[in-house]
Amino acid sequence: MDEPRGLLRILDDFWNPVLVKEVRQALRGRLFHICFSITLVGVTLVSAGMVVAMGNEVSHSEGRDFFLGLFTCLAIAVIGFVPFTAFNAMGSEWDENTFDLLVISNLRPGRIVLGKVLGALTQAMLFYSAFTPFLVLSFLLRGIDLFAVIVALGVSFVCSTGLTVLAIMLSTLSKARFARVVLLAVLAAVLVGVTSGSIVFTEQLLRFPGDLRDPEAVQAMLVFVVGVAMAASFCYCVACNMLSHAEENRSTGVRVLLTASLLVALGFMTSMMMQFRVDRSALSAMIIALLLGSLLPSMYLVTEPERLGRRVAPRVPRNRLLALLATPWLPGGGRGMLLFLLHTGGILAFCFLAHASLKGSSERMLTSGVPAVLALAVYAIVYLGLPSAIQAPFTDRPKARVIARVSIPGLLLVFLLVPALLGFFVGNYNLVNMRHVGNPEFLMERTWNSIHAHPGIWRLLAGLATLTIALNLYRMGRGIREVSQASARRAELARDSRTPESGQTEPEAADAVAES
Amino acid sequence: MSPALEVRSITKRFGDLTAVDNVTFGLEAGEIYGFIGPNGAGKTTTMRICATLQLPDEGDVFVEGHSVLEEPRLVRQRLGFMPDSFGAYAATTVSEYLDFFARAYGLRGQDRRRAIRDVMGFTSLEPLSGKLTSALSKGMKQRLCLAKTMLHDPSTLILDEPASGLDPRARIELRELVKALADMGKAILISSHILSELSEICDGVAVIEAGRIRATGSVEEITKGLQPHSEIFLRTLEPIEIAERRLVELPRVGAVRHDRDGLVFHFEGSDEDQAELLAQLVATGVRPIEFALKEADLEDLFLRLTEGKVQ
Repeated sequence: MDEPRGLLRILDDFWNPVLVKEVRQALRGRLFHICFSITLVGVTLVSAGMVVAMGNEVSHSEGRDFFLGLFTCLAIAVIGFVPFTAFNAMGSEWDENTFDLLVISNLRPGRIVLGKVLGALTQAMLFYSAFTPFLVLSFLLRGIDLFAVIVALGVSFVCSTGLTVLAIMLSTLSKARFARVVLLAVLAAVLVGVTSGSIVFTEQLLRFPGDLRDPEAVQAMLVFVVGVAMAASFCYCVACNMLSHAEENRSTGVRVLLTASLLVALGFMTSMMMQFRVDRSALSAMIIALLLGSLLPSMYLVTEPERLGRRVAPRVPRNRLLALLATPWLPGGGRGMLLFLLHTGGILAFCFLAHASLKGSSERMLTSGVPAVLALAVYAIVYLGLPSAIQAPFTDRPKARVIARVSIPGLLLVFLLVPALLGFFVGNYNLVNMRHVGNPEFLMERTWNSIHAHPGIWRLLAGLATLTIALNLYRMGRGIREVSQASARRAELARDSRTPESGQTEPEAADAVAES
Repeated sequence: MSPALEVRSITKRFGDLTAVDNVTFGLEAGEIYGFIGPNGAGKTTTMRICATLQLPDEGDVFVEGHSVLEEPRLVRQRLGFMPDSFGAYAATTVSEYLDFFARAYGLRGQDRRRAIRDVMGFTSLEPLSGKLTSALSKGMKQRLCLAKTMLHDPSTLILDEPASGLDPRARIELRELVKALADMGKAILISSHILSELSEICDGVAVIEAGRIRATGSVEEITKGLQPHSEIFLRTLEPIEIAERRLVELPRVGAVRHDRDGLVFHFEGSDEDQAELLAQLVATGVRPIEFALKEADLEDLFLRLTEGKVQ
């Protein structure tokens, strides 16, 4: 093995070990060689074909067509092939019995996942660099806008990064071979869809490059990048959680990220309200989308095992107040419910404040989708809170946890379909067409402009929500108590073990050693 | 000072199955401790708990005083674990493999290069440094795995079936490496099916079956605990039946059984009593050509202590 020299030698120590290994393996691997060669041969043939077809006359569309041909090859490589190799790279840790070796080498899950992502992106960069001469040639042929080229390449890179993290996350979900085949099929479908989409998008981009200068287009791109970044961050967190030990903290990352994402989204909406004239209904629709977006991670959080893991309890803050403030972001189903209620409450508060700040009479506050937001929030509390509260005592067992997670959408399906079936037998077509209380969309649509519609349903929902919160009060209280006790225990241990000489406690000393 | 490795009343259940049931033992620096038991006895689970890869449902394990439950990172810095199945990366050479793990253990610059050089020297892997790991023989793979385990210079080593699948020469070489590691002051917990090997190198053993420890201590201590009497092998010029008839009439002689072309009998008494017995035997007209104290080996102990229970 050749040793690096000079600056490289200094940098050599700071590379992520997994990145170094992945790049070494990939560059020596057959798969990369074959794909790289095929792509290069493909792009050379496209170039040669274009040059021959052009002859001596160069029209304005030649450069555009040439770039599109190149981009198609590039998209297949960086959006299709690179995430696929990332999926395989993660899966090979189990296939080759090396995952345990990684864990005991003290590499944290975050570094493992990051190394895999960076390894795949290094391959993507190799593809980009190999394509550069051809891209320059296409630009020299004219007929394409430089900004459009930069945007197209940028979008392909963002897609490649996002899909690579998604692929790694999917790869961590199961070690069973059959499940991995299913996950690979799902990934392949996504990769084909996104690759095709990016080619169509680029084609449109090259055809109408002027549209890119619109402020709305810039904002849309920003939303796209932030959206992919958030989705990738969630995938990263989930992948790290899946690689962590069951007794370690597998939840705080997701919780913090969820809160941060909600804050970013609310901030984005506020900035939109300040810059543009936002319609009340559009605002409500965005808030509904936000609430719906928070449901999936919340479904995972409210069905976690109730107790703090054995490796989490010793890490709870010793300061009681800090521990209390951190409670909703610590693992546990009850604490997950607490966080969900905090998020929902925050979103509702934003909804009311935002509508209040818009011009118009105060009576319009409870129209234009605000009742629908309220209805969705109440439904979310019931559908998430009811099954998770009932199954909370059993979620220590992995199978029970899966059942609890499945039962949340299951309850929605039951509430949707059972009245519809009953309606079919008794001949009530309102029920058959899902116009009943079990269907959130029905009430949201009916109450969009008036909270006074269907008072009976509102009363029923209010009763169910109260019952759900009452059922969850015990687990939430227990969750808070457990954190408080763990904090007190840590503080007590710290007091007992404080050495008079250094004033440093044993856990502090241990932390210091671990840090070093 | 805390023991190198202390397993304190650990229990691990998988559903209704109790894989490890209240297991306790410990070992000191420089000690080689054999961990023996039939397949499915709970050896690997116990070792994985010690290596922080699994958590006990009850009890705890301490490595130099650090708990696997509460301080797994500190434990991993002090412990090297060699699993029973070798994990090799495709398209990776021996030196790249070691370089990766050295980086993963946080070794930098000269320290990393020195550590790789040292472990390659110790395991005699230098000539193979550029060879792909997939092209190595089983014995060389085990050496590489041992080299990887030693990279961060752990004080305690846990070796799960390191000799499994090795040819006799590779086994002997591995045994010598283990001895050398113990001489360097490392505490070694080693499991193996090849009991004759363990009996030669182990300072102590723990016999486990169906998740429970059947016996712990040195081979001699366990032997004494199991059989208060000695076993003596006798071969004579006379037919075996005649010798047996004369022997059973002598004092302190217990149960007699046939073994190959001789007799094995229980005897309770000191060395003088044994000399006296031999003299009395000769006086009865029996002409012994072999009279030897039969020492119990690890295989005998294993068979006596375990019942062949499978979980």
